[in-house]
Amino acid sequence: MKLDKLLNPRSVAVIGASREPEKVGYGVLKNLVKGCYFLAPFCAPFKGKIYPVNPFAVNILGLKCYKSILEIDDEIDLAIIVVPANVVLQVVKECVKKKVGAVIIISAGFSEAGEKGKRLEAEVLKVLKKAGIPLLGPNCLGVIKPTKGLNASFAPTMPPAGKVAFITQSGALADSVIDWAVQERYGFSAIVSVGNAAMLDVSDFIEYFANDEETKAITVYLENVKDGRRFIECCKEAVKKKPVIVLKAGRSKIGEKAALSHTGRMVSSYDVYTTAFKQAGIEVVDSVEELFDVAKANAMLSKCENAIAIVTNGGGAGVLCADYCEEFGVNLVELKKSTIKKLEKSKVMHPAFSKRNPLDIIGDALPERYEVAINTLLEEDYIKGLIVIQTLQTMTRSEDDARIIIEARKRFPKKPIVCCFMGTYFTRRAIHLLEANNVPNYSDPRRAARAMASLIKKS
Amino acid sequence: MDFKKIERFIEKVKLPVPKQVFAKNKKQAVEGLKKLRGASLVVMKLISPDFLHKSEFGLVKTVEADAEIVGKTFDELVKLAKRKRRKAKIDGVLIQEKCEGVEVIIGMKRDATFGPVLLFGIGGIFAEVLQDKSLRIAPIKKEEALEMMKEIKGYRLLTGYRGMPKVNFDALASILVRLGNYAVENEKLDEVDLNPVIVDEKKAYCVDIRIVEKK
Repeated sequence: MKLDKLLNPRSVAVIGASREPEKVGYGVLKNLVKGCYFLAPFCAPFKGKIYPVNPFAVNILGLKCYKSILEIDDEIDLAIIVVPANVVLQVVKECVKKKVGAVIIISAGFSEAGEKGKRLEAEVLKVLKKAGIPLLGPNCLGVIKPTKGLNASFAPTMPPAGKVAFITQSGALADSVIDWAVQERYGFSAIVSVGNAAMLDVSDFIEYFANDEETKAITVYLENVKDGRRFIECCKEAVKKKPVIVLKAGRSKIGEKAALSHTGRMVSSYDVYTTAFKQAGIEVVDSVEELFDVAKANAMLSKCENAIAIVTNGGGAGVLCADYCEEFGVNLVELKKSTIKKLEKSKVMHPAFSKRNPLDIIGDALPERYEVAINTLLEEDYIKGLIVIQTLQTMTRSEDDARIIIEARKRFPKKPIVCCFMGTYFTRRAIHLLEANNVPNYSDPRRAARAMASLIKKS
Repeated sequence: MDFKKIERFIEKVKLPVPKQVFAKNKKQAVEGLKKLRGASLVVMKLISPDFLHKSEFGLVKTVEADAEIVGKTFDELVKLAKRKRRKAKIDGVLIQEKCEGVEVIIGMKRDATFGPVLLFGIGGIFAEVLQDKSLRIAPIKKEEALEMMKEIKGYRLLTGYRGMPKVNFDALASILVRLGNYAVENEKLDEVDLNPVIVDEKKAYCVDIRIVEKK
């Protein structure tokens, strides 16, 4: 099914647009008109046409209101429905008559709300299926495409544009991810909340974003899949093009059928999910933070073979990072004598520098020492990727260090560099500089090691 | 459990089992022993639908492969079962050649979303306590089966740890592959335990088998 009218519309109607700021119908309209409800630095108003539909209002947010979608004298690509559940079916029939390109039903009160809602959802689905109109929802947050300035949702604001697509079975989770993304300047190519997924489900969007040029990594928050085999097939196809990273909720064995065998008792439903995911080449993560950490690295960097070195100006952080590398299966290569000799010959190393991996260049390291260490290691054929740790000392010049890393990144485009500039307050400018130049940074060596692990080519 | 059903299952999946005879009475037990020629020790297991966990009730005994001892043990097992559960239905006693080696578990569980899932792990009575396992959605190829065995924490126990035999990975892999294929074809099959599978350098034997079918 074609999803362009849903994700890239030229005209949008909001059916159930409201004048009251606390109503969802107002939030959705404002998100289109301004780009965001809470003004954030990345807000951009929707550039296409916006048509509010509300039989009782003359205009809202400076736009003329229409009594029904049928009154609008223009083609409508996307209809967003925010009216109460009991009138949704009627509104949907009008949308079919209007020949809209796609429908989002934000309203709740469907299959999540008992038998009556289930029947209503089935009727709505039948009408739209017959008309061949794609449906997102019901009971969903909507879609956001920061790259296109489209905020067709009631999310609090708009995240920055970027290369990560996020498909979620929880709208509320997306709301807070967006709030966090604004603070962290974390960019998204799209955010899609599938709600009850009456028609379009997670698999459909994985398929779509696999072929979307703006998207470099696909993230998924998953509670359950309706068709397990199809989900796996979609993912197997998608991972040939870009990584798919999944956070699966629901590990408790409560509610699972009592098993009669040892095997039955040893295998939980969550175990089966993660097994299926791994077999399909999906990267499985354990937390929201890890989901976006891994996606960030994969959106910015290419994969490499498992032969990694660490450069650090702090011994403790280096040892910790080495521990985590072992935990996550990142192979820290032994530095060759010839490499150590080159470093010694440079005359910029501290006499007490570690002479092994992790390469501790000592706390008083100035940018020049970072430069020699980073370039010497990356010039070696046997080193395929680098983790660079920086702790903040009095003489540390974090922005200059960042620039050196960015240069090295350009010189060695096939060798991923993952950074761990620890702390935040006095290093934030350096961090923004790194990330604006496709070098991911993590404040904790564990997160950096995990990100690097996700970049290792599977043998 | 229906012993005939298990025998059919063994035949269909071509599972390697130790030399064994099933005896409904003492006379059959003594006669049957002749078929286990060459065995010095035999394991005798009471078969009854009322005792799923045999060893917990002392209903598994290892004895010398001697007619008199086997006969006596047959009576003892039946008497013990009757004492534990007065109304227990007793099918008979399974007499197996005693196997030595490393104990692993191979299993299958049918998942509602993804279909049959294969399990490999450290086996025996502690399998559920150790939870040392690796899983795959069936069907799988031999390479995947070999990879799966390497993933468990106790992998070193399979490679000749402290005088223990090095296991025959090919034999285990072919059991995994065949069980996976069979489960894909036979949707009635819900759960399977091959526990333990006793394995050494030469061979792997499915010593105890349990199957659960859809009602």
